[in-house]
Parts: sequence; structure tokens; C-alpha cells
Amino acid sequence: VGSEAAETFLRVESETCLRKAVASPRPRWLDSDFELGGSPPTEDGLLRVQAAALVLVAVGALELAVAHGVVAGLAAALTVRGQHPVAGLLGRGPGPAPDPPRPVPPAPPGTYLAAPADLAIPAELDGQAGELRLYTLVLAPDTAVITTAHARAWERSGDGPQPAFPPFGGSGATDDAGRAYRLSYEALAGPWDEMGALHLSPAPPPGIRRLDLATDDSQAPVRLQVAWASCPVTDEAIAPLTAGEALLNDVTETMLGGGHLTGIVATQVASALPEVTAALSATGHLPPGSPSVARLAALCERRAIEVGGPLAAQAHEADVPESWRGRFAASGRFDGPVGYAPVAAVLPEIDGARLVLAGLSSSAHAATLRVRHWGWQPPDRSLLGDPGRIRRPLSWWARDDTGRWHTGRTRPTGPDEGPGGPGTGEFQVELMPPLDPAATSLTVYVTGASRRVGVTVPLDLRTPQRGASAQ
Amino acid sequence: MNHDAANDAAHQDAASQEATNRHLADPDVVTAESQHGGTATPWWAAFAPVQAEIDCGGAAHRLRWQEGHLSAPDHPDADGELVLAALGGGRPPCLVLAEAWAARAADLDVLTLGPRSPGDRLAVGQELLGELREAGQASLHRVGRRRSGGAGRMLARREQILSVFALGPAFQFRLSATVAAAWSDAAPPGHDPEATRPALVAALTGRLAPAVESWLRPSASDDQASATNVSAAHISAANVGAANVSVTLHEGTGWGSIRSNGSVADHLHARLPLAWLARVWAPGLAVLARHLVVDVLAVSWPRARVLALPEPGGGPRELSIVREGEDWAVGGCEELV
Repeated sequence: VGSEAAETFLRVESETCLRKAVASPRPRWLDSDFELGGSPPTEDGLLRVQAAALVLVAVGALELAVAHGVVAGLAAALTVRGQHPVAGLLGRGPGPAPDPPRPVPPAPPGTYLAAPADLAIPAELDGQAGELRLYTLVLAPDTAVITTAHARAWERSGDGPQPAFPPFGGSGATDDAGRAYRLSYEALAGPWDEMGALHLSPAPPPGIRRLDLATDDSQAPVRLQVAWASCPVTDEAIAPLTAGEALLNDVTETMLGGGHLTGIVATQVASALPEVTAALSATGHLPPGSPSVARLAALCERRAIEVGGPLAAQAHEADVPESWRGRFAASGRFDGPVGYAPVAAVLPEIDGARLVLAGLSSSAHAATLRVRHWGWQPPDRSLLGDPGRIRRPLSWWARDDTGRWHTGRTRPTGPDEGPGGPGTGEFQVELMPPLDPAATSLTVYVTGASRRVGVTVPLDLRTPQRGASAQ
Repeated sequence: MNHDAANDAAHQDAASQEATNRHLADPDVVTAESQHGGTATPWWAAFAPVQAEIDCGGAAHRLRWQEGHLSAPDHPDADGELVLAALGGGRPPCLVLAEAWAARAADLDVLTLGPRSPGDRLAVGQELLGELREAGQASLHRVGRRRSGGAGRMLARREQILSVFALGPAFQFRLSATVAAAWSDAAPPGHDPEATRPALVAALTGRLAPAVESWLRPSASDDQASATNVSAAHISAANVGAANVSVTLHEGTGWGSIRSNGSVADHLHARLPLAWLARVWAPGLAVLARHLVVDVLAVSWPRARVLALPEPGGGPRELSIVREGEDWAVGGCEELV
């Protein structure tokens, strides 16, 4: 189905919206001085047509400029009927088109390994005492990196000054075979503490058994015993989703606390579900009877977003996955244990990407996984920042061994492109609700276009030193 | 803007224009079949001439629309006046409006903004035009001189359309018809017909849907079906909502087709030419006496002969109609049948 069908649908939908707006009684509105008059409120139908336009652009059925033209035309038509501010006649353009996403090469073939580092080195940052935690050593075919975080201690423990941050000397690292490596520190953006990545160059061989990291010249090297993790994994094929189904699932997961969209975008799409599903169906991006529609409709009903009509019936009959039911059941929990864990696990390849879990921190509100990645880039949250959803998002879920389900929401930790080139770097996955205090293991599920992979990691949380944060 | 006042003004405009129509109407002026050899009526055949008066440099001047063209009869040397204006004089408002009409005569934006049905009253007047100019200048100032080209052109284009629309509903429908006629046979030069098809389909859908709603809406007398000629199929088809009309452009010979999807008539499929807008809808002929008019066969003002459907899926029948006051009525046209 070409873009002509998408544009025709959107234009005819605009006509329907205009007809309803003209026919509906319109309440008088108050201006800022509580006088009758002022700018009219935004017509609800305009928001619905905007949402339909948004998803048609997002699935690649319609060009952004065309979609904008249709929506602007509707705003203008409402304006000449006194139902939209006069600005609707100015037909402002959509602004400069977003740069197309850079192509992401597939992950380099070869061995990916992860080993818990589980070390903490005293280090001062900006004059404040703390510790540099080494979470996980990750080895990829072309790179090696140790994930780190600096946790400030608001109360100094022990006597004497600490090494300055980062506490590594100029002599780099040495492995058990006497091979020398350069260390370079990359600061990452994190929500709380100084997150970083310690890059080793050249990359060590997979047979490495230990690394000695030279710190301040006055201190003994820190020894990292390398024991590659071997966590149980799952890898199953799933029925491929259409672009429309993937988008609706992303909307649903965003409303559940995960997903990749901004909350306002997800809510706008959900609030216009009848128009959105009609748009996706009319352009062949949503198969009849898709469970993605029924599930989102069911969630809308739970969130007091009225869907009405046949969608309401579908919502009542929706086959809601166990994970969703579990997510509902655990809403409002703030009982997560405080600590961190040197989680180390390699996920099976998915959608051409390699993902390695490289650390976890837990707080009362949420748990956060650190993920090193190759051959993948987090998609834009705005829908329109990635027209056609060239980078379809991965779906993240987790279940701890007490049965509590968690949705995952990705956060970037740095620029789109890490030192290893496009598609490489690190992001975080925030898991909500928080871990169950009694949990001892966590299974992380990642769903892509046609596969679902999983890995189970032990949850052996380290309690932060007194006064230091969990991160 | 006070919309009630604007609507009142629009009603007054319409009333004065209809009075002018009656004055201008001459049964001998337009006999479309005789003018066109009986092959086809011109798109404007079912329109009465219309005239508006505007303030032009302190004088009340006329703008006249007749046979598809807008003229400014109080400016017999329009070209000369425009040359003078180019040399520094002001352009007379009559000529500005005539220029606006000509500039927008094939602009699909007219169909985006314009009325969808006789009851769809636009709140367009000098107040809205003033607000538009003010907001437009502020917007252009914000975006800056270097980026203002596109925005400035959009502002000028909308100003031209709204200045014509401000003349009242009669001119709104006639300009809409002019645009529809310009696109009916082929896309105007410089336009890609493929790229504009969605806009044309939407323009047709947005105007056919309210007509269908009016056509199939049960009337009070339908409660006593036995006392009327309304068929059972017609009543069941009344379930068709305006939102359930799908339209495709008819590009072959004949008027097209209109059918419902089976016994439960909850969706109507219409295949009509774009010319239906200019020939039928714009002159107010879309629905007459519980019939949907699909084509105009002949006109000898104020009488006409049209092709009309009594119900979806049925065959069309010819109706003779006559203009009575502001409405068309069936009958009184024996010489055309």
C-alpha cells in the first residue's frame, strides 16, 4: 500500500473530523480574564488526526511534510469556522526534516564475553571521597571495556587522602601473560553518579585469566580475576510483527512504564486509538484482529482513556499477557533493595545486535541495568525523529524469581555513537517496578522483530559502603 | 471575533446576493444545451449570476460573477489602472479581489477551507482577515527575513482566498466550483495529477458525505411509511452515517455509480467525477426531493433537468426542476423533459 492510500485516509479522516466539529455544539470559552472570548480550545478531532498522521509517518507510510500539510489544512479549515486560533491559517511548516538515522552496521562477528569485576577502589572526585566501582569486564571481537561508576561517600571512611579520580596510573594494565594494555577512561551520562567505561587497548584475548590494573603509583595494582560468566539463555522465534503492531506495542509498553516513546506521545496515540488503528489498517500496517490493538485498548480502559465502539469490546476480550498482569499487580511498589551487582551476561544475537549486561544497581524505586551494545542504536523517542521507524525498538521485560515482572525503559548514557563507531556504546535499562527484596535471580527478556532472547543472572547485591549511593 | 455577528453578516450577504440573482436572472440568457450542441452543460450552467457591492476608494462598486467569470464592471480599463498602480498608485480593491479570484481559481486550498454544505457557514469577514494579517506579520518577523519566503507566500495565498470568501456564501460556492472545474478534466498545467488525487478524493468525500446524510436521513413522515413513497430499502439505508461514505474518482464516461454494501446498508461506495462538485453540489442541487442528484443534463435558467437517484443501488431517474426563490423544486420544466 503506497503513500497515496495513507494520504487519502488522512485527508478523508480530516473531513470526518471537520464535519463532527461543525455539527457539535460548542461551549463558549473564557479568556485569561475570565471573559467570554479568547482563543478557542483545541478541537479534539484535530488531536486525533494529528495522532493518525504521527503513526502513518512513524511506520513509513507517509512523508512528514505531507502529513503536516493535511493537519495544517484541517487546522485552517477549523479556523475559518471559528474553532481554532487564527494561527491555524498561517500553515507553519514542520520545520527542518530530522536527519535520517545513520546506518548502523551489524555487530562484528566473533566472541562476546562478560566477567564480573566486582572491585571497588577508593577515589576522590572533586574533593569528595568515594569509591570507583568496577562492575563488569566485557570483551568483544574488537574491543574490551570495564564498566565503572563512582559513588561519592558523604562520610569519609578510613584515614588519609584518597587517590584522585580516576585512580589509574600511567602504566595501564597487565594480564597474566605479561601483555600490557593501555587504559582510557570514557565518562558516561548517568542519572546520579559518575558512570564510565574503562577501555582496554588492545583488546585482550579470550583466554585471559587476570588483569592487574595499576592505580596511583603509591598503591598496589588492583587485580581482577577473569571468570567469564555462563548464564542460562533462551532464544526463541516469534511471529514477526507488522510495523503498526510494533508501534502499538511500544505505545503500550511506554504507558506501562517501559517502551521508547515519550509519555505525551504515547498518550496522544492511545487517546486516538480508533483513528490510529483505522489509519494503520487502511495502509496495510495492521492485520485484522491484531492482539496488539486489543491489548492497548484494554490498557486504555484501565487508564480511563475511553476507546468506545468495537475497540471496547475487543478490550474486554483481550488476551493480556502474564507479564502485563504482573506489571499491574506490582504497580506502586517502592520496596526495592538498595545495592549494586556486577551482573555479567551475554545475550544471544537479536536483530543483528549483540547486547551484554554489564552491571546492575537497585534502589527502592527501580533497578537499572547497564547494557553494552554493538550493531544497534536506541531509536528516537519522538516517533518523528526516526521517520519510518528505521530503527525498530527492542522490547525489554524482566522477571525476578519471586515472580515479579518489570518493564524496561532504555536511557542513553552518552552520544549516539561510542568510540567504537556507530551502533556501539552503552545504554541503561530502567526496570520498574523495583526488584522484590527477596529476589535472588533475574531473567531479562529482549524482544526484537522476529526473536525473543532471554538470560538469567544471579542477583547478589553488594551493599554500598556507608554513606555511598547504590549506583 | 464575534462569530454570531459574522454569521449574521454572511446571511445578510446571501440574502442581498439572492436578490441580485433574481434581478440578473434572465430566462433567455443561459440555455446550456443550445450553447453546447446538447452534448454537455457547462459547469456553471446551474448557477445564477451574482453580484456584490464593495467599498472601492469611497465608492460603492460592483463585483459580478456570471458564467464562470468574475468581473469588475466599474473598472472598464482594469489593465490601465493596474499599470498606474504599478507606477505607485494604490490598487483599487475591486481589482485586488478580481486578481485574487483569478490567482486562486485552481487552488485546492479553496476546497480545503471552503464550505462543505449549505449549512456550513464560514466565520470569514474583515475581522478575521485583520487578525490573519496581524498574526502573519508577527510570524514573519519571528522566522526572520531569510526564512520568510514560504510563510509569506502562504499568508498571501490565504489572504486572497479569505478576501473572496468574505464576499459571502454565494461567492464561496462559486469559487469552490471554479476550482473543482479547473481540476475536473485534467490537472492544471504544472500539477502532478497523481500527487493531488488524495486531496481531490477528500474534497469530494467531504461534500458528498453531508449530502448523503441529508439524502438518507429519515424524515418525520418516514414514521408513517405506508403513507409515503419511501421504500423499505430507503429506510434501512438511512442507517448509513456520513462517516461511512467512501468515494473514488470516476474518470470514465457516464455519471459513475453509488451502491451500498449488501442488505445491511451501513456503508456507501460512491464513484463520482470531480465535476459533480462544480456541476451539482456547488449550485445547491445535491439533494432534491429525497433524491441524490448525480448530474445536470440541461439548464434553461431557472429551469433544469437533472439525473437523480431515489435510493442507493437503484437506477437514476430524470427530474425536472425549477429555481423558486432560494431553493430548487421539482417540476415546472416540461419543455426540457
